[in-house]
Amino acid sequence: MPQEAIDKSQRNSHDSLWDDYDSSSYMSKTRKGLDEDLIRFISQEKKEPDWMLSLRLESFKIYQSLALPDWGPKLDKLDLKNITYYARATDQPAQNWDDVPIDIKNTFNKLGIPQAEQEVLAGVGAQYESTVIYHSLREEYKEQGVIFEDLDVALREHEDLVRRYFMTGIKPGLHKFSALHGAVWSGGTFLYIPKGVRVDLPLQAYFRMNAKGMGQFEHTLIIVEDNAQAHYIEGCSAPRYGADSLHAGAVEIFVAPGARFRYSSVESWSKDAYNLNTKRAIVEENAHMEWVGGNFGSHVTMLYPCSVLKGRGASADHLGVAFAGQGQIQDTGAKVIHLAPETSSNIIMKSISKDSGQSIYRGLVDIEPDAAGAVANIKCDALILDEESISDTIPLIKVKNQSAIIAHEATAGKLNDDDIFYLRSRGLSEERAAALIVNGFIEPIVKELPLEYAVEMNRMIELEMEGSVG
Amino acid sequence: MAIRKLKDNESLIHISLADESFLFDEASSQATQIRVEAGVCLNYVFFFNSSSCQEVNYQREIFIGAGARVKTFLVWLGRANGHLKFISQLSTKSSIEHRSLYFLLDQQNLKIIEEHNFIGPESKGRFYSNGLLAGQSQVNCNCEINILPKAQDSDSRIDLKLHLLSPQAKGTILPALKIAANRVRAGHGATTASFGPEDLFYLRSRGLSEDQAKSLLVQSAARLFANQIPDRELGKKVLDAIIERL
Repeated sequence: MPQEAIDKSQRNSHDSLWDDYDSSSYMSKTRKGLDEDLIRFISQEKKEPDWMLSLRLESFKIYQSLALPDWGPKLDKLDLKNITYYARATDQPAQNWDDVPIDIKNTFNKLGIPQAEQEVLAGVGAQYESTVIYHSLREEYKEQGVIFEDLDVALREHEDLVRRYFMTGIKPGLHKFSALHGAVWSGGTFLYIPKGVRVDLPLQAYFRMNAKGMGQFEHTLIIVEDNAQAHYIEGCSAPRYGADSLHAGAVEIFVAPGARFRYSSVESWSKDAYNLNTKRAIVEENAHMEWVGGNFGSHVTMLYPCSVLKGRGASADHLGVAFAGQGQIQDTGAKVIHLAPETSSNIIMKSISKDSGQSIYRGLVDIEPDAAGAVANIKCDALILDEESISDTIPLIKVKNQSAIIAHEATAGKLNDDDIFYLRSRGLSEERAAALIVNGFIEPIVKELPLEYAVEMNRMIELEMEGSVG
Repeated sequence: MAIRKLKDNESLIHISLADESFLFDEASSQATQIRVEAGVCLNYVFFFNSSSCQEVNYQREIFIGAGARVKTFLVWLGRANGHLKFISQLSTKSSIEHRSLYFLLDQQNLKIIEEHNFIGPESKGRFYSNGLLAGQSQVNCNCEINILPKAQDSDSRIDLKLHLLSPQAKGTILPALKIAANRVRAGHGATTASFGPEDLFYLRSRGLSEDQAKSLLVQSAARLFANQIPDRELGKKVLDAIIERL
């Protein structure tokens, strides 16, 4: 075990699932820190077209010119010079699970990825450090024209499509970490659903940071054409080393007229990771976008999935749950920008704080002048499980059209003593009763996940709740 | 009930058991601190209705002693653009019921910052804010409740309402809750709408034009607010000033 690794006996059972790591011999070929030479190296190694290198270099300039955000959790302890921005664990992605290197396969086997692929998924992608190591899609969907690829591969094989959309929803200048992402992005998913195609089974990608001090910058680009429908799930994890790691991925989703798309994610980064992810969907006329998210891991999370309702009648649902334990700041929320008439949005967020954890809901609903008849509904509930924990709710509402109707409601409180008493009278321990109540609290979010993930999220809550009462 | 008027440039007021329990503030001072001693009941009305168009800036800070009960009313009319900051500090077992109403016209621009700090345990606060925006007016209203670690068993709620009465009016509202104690009840609600579509539909079905219907609904909101002011004469003064703007 490396010197710096935390003694596994000190970790709780939840962490131990994610904290197993493999030796990282490929790390000897990497270096820490970021400069123009590294960006050129990444682009050259991936044999990218010139326009992509230009975009990377332009993003790097923007990154250097922008300051860290002056709001939200303090990021000044994040040592950006000590991050490894690019590490390639394998030479090329495998199409067959048997071809994946054995040490990497072991990690994903422990996380249950291959089994899920066989049983409940339409396709699977797996990324390890900076590169995708495996990608597959069921034949029946390939035949219908669905493309589910590693984004590096898609850039070679579907360059025009990638170029038309890449970083147009999330511009490099949006903030410092989107600029950083534009400069060093690597790997990720490209998903294209043709017109009218309905993919009934979910597609999944799993992102794993394995080495110490890594940065992961995967880019997920999803295009859902007119009247198409799909569900995509992302899972993320990393082991804990006691050194900062950084995740600054980007998810761009383009939902064409009449289409429906659901994006679910369960983020379990290690508790020394900074999760500064950016997610944005552009939703066209009468299209519908759903975000379902669970944030459990990381030291600091700043994540606010955004829907831009661009076409008349577009709509979005944002459902999220965040769990902030010891040493964690979960600054999460949702942004909806209503640009067109008769657009609607619904935001439901739940947070749980315990052991001095901080959970923050930070949201924006922006009704622009042309959004006549827009309707927005926001509901945030917070549970605070002990005297040291903190919960903040910061919902910004901007209205520039008089016909818009917006309703916001938020509550915060503790576990109800009567509920605990009732469950104890039925023979449950106090700890079990508390876990059951917390699972009930997040149930409106969990029920929107496929069964396997709902069970997993409930189990994670139970593990996080160990030792929380009594 | 005797009403004490705030004097020009009065920056510090102590309200004790011996003092009057009704304070009327016609924005005669830029910054004023009001210290309400333990166990005292106070009604406080801040009324801004200057005809001057010069930009103004006011700050009021109210310290509410243990067991004291305070009702506050903020009314912003007038013609000027302005900044208004209102801070309350609640001690053990104290309570505040805070209502604000602002009615802006033309190109009027108002920034309101409210901070309500729950310092002691078992304190209680209810905060209601009602904004009426006509013409090209704009408001930016930040209303923040801070529950500090010792304010266990506190009970708080904010309700913000924003009514845009014209297509060019704009508003930004931020009802924030910051909670560092776990045995609390805290909630906030915010709504923005022109007026209830059913209400408007009903009034229009009785033959009123849209403007007449909106005017009636504004009067109704103003009357509900004014009726809460414990002094009838002062309530009428506020109501008349609002109706005059219509």
